[in-house]
Amino acid sequence: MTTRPSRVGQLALPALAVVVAVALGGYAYRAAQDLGDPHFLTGYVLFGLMLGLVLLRGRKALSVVPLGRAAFWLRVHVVGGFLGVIVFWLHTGALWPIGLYEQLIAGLFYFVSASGIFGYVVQRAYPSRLTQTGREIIYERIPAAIAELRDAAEDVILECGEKTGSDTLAKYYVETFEWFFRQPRFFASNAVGAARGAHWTRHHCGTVARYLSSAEEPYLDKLADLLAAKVVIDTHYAAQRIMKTWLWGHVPASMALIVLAIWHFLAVNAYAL
Amino acid sequence: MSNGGAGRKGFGMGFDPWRMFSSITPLDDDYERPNMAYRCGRERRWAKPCPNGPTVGGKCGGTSECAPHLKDGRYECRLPKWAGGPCADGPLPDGSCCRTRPPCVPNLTTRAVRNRLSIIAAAAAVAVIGAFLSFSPNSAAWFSSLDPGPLSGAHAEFTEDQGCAACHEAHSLDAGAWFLAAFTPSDPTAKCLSCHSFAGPERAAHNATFARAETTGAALGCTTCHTEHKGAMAQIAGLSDTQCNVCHETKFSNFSSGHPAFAKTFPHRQRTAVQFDHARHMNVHFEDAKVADKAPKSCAGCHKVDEARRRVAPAGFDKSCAACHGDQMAGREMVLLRLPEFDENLIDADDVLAACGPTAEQVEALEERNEALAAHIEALEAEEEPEEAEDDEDDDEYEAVSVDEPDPLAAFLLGFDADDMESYGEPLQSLIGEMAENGIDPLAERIGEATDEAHATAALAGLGPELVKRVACAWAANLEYEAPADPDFGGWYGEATEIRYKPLGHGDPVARAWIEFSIAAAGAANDEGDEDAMERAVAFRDTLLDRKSGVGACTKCHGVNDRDANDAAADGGGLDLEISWALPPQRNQPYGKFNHAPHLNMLGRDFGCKQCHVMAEEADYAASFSDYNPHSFVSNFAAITPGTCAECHATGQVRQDCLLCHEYHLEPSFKKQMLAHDDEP
Repeated sequence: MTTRPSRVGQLALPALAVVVAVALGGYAYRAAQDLGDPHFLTGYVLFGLMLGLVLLRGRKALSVVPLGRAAFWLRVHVVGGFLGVIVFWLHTGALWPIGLYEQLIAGLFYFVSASGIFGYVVQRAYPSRLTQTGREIIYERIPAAIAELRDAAEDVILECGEKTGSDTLAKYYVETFEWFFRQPRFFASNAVGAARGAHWTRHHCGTVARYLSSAEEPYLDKLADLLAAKVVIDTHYAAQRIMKTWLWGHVPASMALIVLAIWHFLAVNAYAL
Repeated sequence: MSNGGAGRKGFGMGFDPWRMFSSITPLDDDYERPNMAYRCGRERRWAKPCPNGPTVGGKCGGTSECAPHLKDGRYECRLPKWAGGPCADGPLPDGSCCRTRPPCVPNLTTRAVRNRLSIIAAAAAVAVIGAFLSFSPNSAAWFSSLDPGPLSGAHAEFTEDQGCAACHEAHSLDAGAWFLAAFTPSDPTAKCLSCHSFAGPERAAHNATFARAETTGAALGCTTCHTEHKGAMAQIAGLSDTQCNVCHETKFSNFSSGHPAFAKTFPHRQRTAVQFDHARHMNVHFEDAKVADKAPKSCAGCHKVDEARRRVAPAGFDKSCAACHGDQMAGREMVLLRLPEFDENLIDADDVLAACGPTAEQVEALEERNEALAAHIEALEAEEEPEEAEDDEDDDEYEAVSVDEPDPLAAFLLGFDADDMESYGEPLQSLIGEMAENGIDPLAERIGEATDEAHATAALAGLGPELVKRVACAWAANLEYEAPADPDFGGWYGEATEIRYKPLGHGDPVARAWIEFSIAAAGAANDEGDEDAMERAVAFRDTLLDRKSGVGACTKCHGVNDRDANDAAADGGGLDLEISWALPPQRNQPYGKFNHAPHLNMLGRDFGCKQCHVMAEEADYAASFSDYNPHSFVSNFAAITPGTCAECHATGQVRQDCLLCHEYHLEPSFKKQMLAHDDEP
């Protein structure tokens, strides 16, 4: 059983980061006042910080080793990331450097930072939204679930045709709902929390309902239940897809950034130390 | 793959699709762990994945529904219960499953995709570094991973040949040494100093060694203040006020608030070279109706504002002073030599006669003798007793033609006491005799002995030997010299008992030479240690330097300064004097700079001066010239304070940074090496 840290515990890391940032900023300011060169120290701190942030991956790989809870390390990663941005500005002294190579590093740094912030936001926002759907589904099972829903929907349509002798619902299914059941739909709408999928299904159910006999209506109700389930699955798919694939940008860019930073570290020390 | 018809069950009322998932999903008990690299490829088409899933290597593992097991020579179906149990058809004779399907192309899991992208990104980063390195930093510096930014314009020009190695030692090292250099401190300042030079210690603050020990701090590197690679247009030579504050004892945020006070008499450190009382001229003389038309209309009337730089020099005598004072020099004549009263005539008449020939009186006396002789002869012829001729000369007592005292020059040159007739009679009459015989030479010889020949030459320039000879002959004959014409045009002339010099105007070289000679003579006499001689030399000098009667009225305006005024080790006796003939050279201010020109341009060339130079009406300016000490003075103008400058140089107005008025380096320059090129032999 895991317990959430106390409010003091939650504030400890940000407070520590603020202390470090203020201390480093104060040092950089004093160094500039005293004809010193703060760029080396801020650079070393930034480089160490980036290496430390990468260690979060190591923590995940070494899940069997008792290195503290993953949630704690994630908080360390998030707070460290924000601290890194401040140290980066202290180090460069500008928002955007002049040298091409430094611009490449800065671009990657900003991308990593921005993607990290994006990931942090979606990791905070989407789970609660998914909870509101009232259902849970593992991301890896979504293709199978959609296939099952699609099969179930087709079974409903076939049974409706067999039992009622009418093909109204079947024709409408082929023209509209079959598209919907084929794969996840309304990705963008679900990503931003809109309900376009639900509207779409209600609209078409309402449309076709006017042409159905009383015998066909129970089948439309079943189909509507399947459509509602599909909407939930689509919501899960969109949210979980984003929560998983934002790392496709964040992590590889971090790796590239570390490599470029190592070369930058060596070059600066060789030429300017 | 079908899951054994589980999806074909009928739907009744109360249908719950979510309940369906718990029964229809074949992998309920086989959670798809996200750390698996591959997933069934059917999922890509949003179909149901097969229960077998892909192999570890990423190949399809579901081309058949089961893997029949050989038991007792027969193959048995191994289809699990959740998949419907053993099928009715059973395995094929060769042991393969009867239910086959085309293989899928397994998908990478999101984690595997992320890992692969990470590897690709890291590899791409290495490739980028390699690409950067493959370009020569010299030909495409902007595309170098080692170039943090363009050099400033000046440095970019001369580093073209050597590239980064021009400044960075590590750039010329091999890979191993380069790597080690990353962990070894370097000295980029040494590279800077291969081209830059200064007039003092290169690494010392301000390139100077200060007297105060506490001002000598640790050695500074060029990069302490000057950082490169900030762009072609970057001004890397700049120094911020903050950087100045690091070392300077008195720290202040900007000039207008906290700059240390200037010197009490700033900008003057001594009295002016020429005594010109601005206040008296402005308030008295220029207001006089008699000269008002000659008065300048503004400051620019006397000062060369068009050539204003650090100083705004006066326009000079001819333009500024001559209108009123142009004829004052000629009125201040100098006596070179004066025939004094003698109590006896020591000059040999025969020598004088030989040198000068007979005088008019002698000729007249000779004619009288001749007439007397002729009368005597005539009487003899008539046998008359001749009258006895009177010999007045032999019988007359000597009475000097002059009753004056000797002049100070003669007293100094000949070393006598001007008050003692017995003292000066012999040497002065001897000099007159020599002059009668040799003209100017005896005088020049004595002047040269007192100082040097150069002084004699300059002081006696224009003095004709014939004039000297005629005057000396007259004096030798105890006669006043009668000049053939009046000295209307100035220069040397003889008049009765004096040889005089009348200056030709401002800047008269002879008058100046005599003043210089008098100062040098006093100094020389002091060096010899003869107090009497020194006393006579000083008397002679003071005669010429007298502000009211000195030759050419030079010292009326030009200051006479004691060089030893501030030298504690000097005798302080005012014997090492100098005349401020011209503006003194500007004081060396290696760390300060000021230019009047932009100030005059903005404030006005005529009266803009008054904005800063406020006249001190009550100041006793003239008293500054009462002695020879130039540093004991009162200025005609109130001292300029930081507040004066801060009226404009303040926050939100004109810039007020340290470098506006101060330099950091001492005479920064370049070394010849900077001009060397690789293509030179």
